[in-house]
Amino acid sequence: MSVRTTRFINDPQTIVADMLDGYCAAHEDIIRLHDGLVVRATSKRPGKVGLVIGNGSGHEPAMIGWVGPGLFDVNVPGPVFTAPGPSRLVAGITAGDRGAGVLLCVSNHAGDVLNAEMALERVRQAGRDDVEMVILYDDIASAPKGQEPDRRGAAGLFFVWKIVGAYAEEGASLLASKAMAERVRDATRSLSATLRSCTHPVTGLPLADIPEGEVVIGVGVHGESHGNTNSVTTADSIMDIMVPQVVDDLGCRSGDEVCLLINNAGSLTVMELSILYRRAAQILAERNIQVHRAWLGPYATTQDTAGFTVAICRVDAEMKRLYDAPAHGAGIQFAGPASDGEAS
Amino acid sequence: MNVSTEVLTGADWCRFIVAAADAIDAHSDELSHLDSLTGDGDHGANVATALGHARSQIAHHDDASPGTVLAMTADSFLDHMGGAAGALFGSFFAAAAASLGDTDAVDVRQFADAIAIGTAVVTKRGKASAGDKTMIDALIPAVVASRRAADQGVSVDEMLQLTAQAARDGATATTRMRASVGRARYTGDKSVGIQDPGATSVALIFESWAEAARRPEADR
Repeated sequence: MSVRTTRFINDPQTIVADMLDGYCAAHEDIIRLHDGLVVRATSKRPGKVGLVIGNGSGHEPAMIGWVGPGLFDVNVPGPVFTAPGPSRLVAGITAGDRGAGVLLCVSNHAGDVLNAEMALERVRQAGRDDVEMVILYDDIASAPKGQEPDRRGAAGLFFVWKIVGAYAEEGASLLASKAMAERVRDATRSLSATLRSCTHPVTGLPLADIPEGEVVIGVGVHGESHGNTNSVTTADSIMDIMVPQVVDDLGCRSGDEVCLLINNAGSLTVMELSILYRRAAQILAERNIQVHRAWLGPYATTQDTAGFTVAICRVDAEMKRLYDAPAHGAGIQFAGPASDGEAS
Repeated sequence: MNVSTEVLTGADWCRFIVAAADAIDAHSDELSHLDSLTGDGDHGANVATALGHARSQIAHHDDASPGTVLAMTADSFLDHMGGAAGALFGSFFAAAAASLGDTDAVDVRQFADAIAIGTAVVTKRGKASAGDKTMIDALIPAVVASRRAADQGVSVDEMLQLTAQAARDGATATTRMRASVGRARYTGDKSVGIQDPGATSVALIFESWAEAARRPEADR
């Protein structure tokens, strides 16, 4: 199949290695590349729970950009769209260990779960009982309400990473960190929409075939669809379909406080994200649901896919405090609460 | 001269893994195309990477036992492929390798037992059953055929032909199935009419072994 060159790459076979070399070199104050693992450049105090995640590459800045203070200790990048194998994950667990146990975070996809299970078996067989795994999911399109553990992980896990990252950083135990991850997961829902899919950067094949002028609601992070195709009309009308589904699935009620994410799946503009956010915020306001914080931008992408995820996390006082805590990754920064001097 | 009619040696298994890697290379685009219809379209490239790694490893160990050859193949899938398919193919070869122990000659019965144990591990780990449109739908017929062949006391060569045919028939049968596990399940009814890439890889691997067993020694 003849494929038009649409990307600035060298060799598809070295695409991940070349990316990791460049990304880590560009952010050497935050991360370094250690045996194919992305680890923190800054030393951590002993006794901190290690947060480790593996994932297929191609979704940057997830998760290579999420290693750093207040975030992950180690990211194990796999091949493009393919979870890393058990040996790689075991190496990541070892690299993330600071004597207080390691929490292996797993976005719910078959490959990620299978390899994490095998890695966990290996470390348990090696006599370690201080490694835990937590499986996370948020995408309401992938399984019906009541079957939440069958849902796949999507961009809503942003909230889990941010909050658990802060919690572990301030000294939470392994089991407390795991419980917090589950608590944020259970308070988070998301739904995605795609206008135009991307090509696989290695094979050049399209990930999904979406007719011109249509939007598919319910697309997964690899373009796998499980959704309904709608004719594109306006941003507001798309949000009018999506946001109530997310809010209702979570069971948000008047008076609740939420964090709201509009994730750019790749090639949307700030203009589009803002227009989408505007309507989402209006819908929440109509229901008397208050937005504690919002985040717009590319968190988990699928190359240059034209699409987005809307995700909502219902927050309580502790989760708000942790969400607002400082964090410093190459691809995500939280400065901490704005001071009086900075606020306008 | 054909493969010994009685047993498969480590050297035979080396040839089998090389043959499998060559077969997947030849069909990589076709496998990736099948995967792109229900998944992310990289299955062929990924299996080719894993078996290609195994092929290069084996080149340095041509005196290895059958179990060692399969264990190296398992590690290539687990460490150099990743994803669900890497974990499942890797688990298959690891369990088959373990069942062979340190024997230096695999007979028909041992072959049938090895792929049965490998298939059982894939079924358990993958939490899939027959009819879910996965690699299991090619593996189970292969297990049944090899067991029957062992019961009938046929030659290794004949067993490999029967096993390959059963795996191919199993892969073909996935076309009409609806995916219910793995990433393809999100495509639902759209998966009907598309042959499962994982099952197709299984068929290609068993076919490559059947063919390698009949290839004249001089061409090996």
